[in-house]
Amino acid sequence: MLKRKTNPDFLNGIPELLLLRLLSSRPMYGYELVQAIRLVTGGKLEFGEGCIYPLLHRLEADGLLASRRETVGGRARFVYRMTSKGRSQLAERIDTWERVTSAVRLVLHGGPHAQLE
Amino acid sequence: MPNSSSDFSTAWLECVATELKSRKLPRREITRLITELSDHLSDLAESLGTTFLPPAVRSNVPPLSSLSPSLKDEAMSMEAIAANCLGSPAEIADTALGEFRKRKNLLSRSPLAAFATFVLLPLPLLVAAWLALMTISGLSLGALEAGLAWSGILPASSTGAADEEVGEALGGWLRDANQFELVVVHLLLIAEIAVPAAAVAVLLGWLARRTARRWLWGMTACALVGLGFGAAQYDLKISDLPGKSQLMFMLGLGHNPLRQCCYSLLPLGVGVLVLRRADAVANGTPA
Repeated sequence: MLKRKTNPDFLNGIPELLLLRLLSSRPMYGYELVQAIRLVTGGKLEFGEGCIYPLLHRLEADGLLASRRETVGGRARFVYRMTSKGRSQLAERIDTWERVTSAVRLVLHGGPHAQLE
Repeated sequence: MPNSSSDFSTAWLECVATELKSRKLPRREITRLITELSDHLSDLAESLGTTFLPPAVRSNVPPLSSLSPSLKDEAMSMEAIAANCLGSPAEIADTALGEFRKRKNLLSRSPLAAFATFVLLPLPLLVAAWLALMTISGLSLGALEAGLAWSGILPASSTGAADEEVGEALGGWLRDANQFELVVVHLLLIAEIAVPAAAVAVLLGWLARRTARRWLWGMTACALVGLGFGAAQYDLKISDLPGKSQLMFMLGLGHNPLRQCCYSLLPLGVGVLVLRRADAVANGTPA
């Protein structure tokens, strides 16, 4: 039987989830990631772009990402790519996210047994 | 693009660095973050410049100092916009500190823990591994001897014999051993000191994969294990007199320093393999 978490950190993990998902498609550097988030979300998410780097560094320290200084467009940049551990972690996080959002949606829109006053 | 290493960018990055230092983050973390923010700032300024600079400037961008005062103000304000997009220095420093503390792995968080693990621990760990393997070997020999006695291959009197008797039986076997059997014995004795050294090198290399400077820490640890392994030697004296054969394990410079130097390369080689494998896995390329 799966061990059930009593307090899922579904709000804290959103930026990590986005970064992992974007990097699962191809390696990117920080500025590219910010642009990708903006493009994919239609600019709906507001955040200090500089705050993305500490997050990337933590994901790298935890072994989910790897980085290398590479020359891109004539300039040296830290390019991030996903590790195999990162891929399995992403699958797990997507699963958790989908379960949580579907549960929240049921509450917000009323499931078959919802009886809201 | 205007000269993006303008006073504004430099001052802003210095401000971020000051905020990071005040939160006592490691110097390496600060340098890395400042480098990436500087890259990001340049990209952002370039992007804003391409979008907002007047066509006359966009086509042939001169240095900031040569722009007219109004264009210079515009360029400076673009730098301000760029810095604004990145967030305030205090906000970035707070995030950096928070994320640094959230790291799961102590070795990647604390240089002190990394030093203790990769500089202080290797030699005691190696000695412990040798002692463990020798104990296991001794117990295995005892069990083997008991099994042989039980099956009738060895005389029943050997069962439960004291260590001296077991040693004497082995000495007797060694005296009568042919050349091939002696080579096998020497290979087993070399394995007795090589296997723990290789295992410790694998373990430390594996731990080093979790640190930010995995090659530095990993190779330091493997070099120390290599020193220990190079200094380890055994002395097997086979005597014709019963009970006088001897086997000793010791540390130090022996009769063949060149061979010991070669031995010391084994843990280094193991470390390189483990770390290269880690790099390959991290980069998603075949090892």
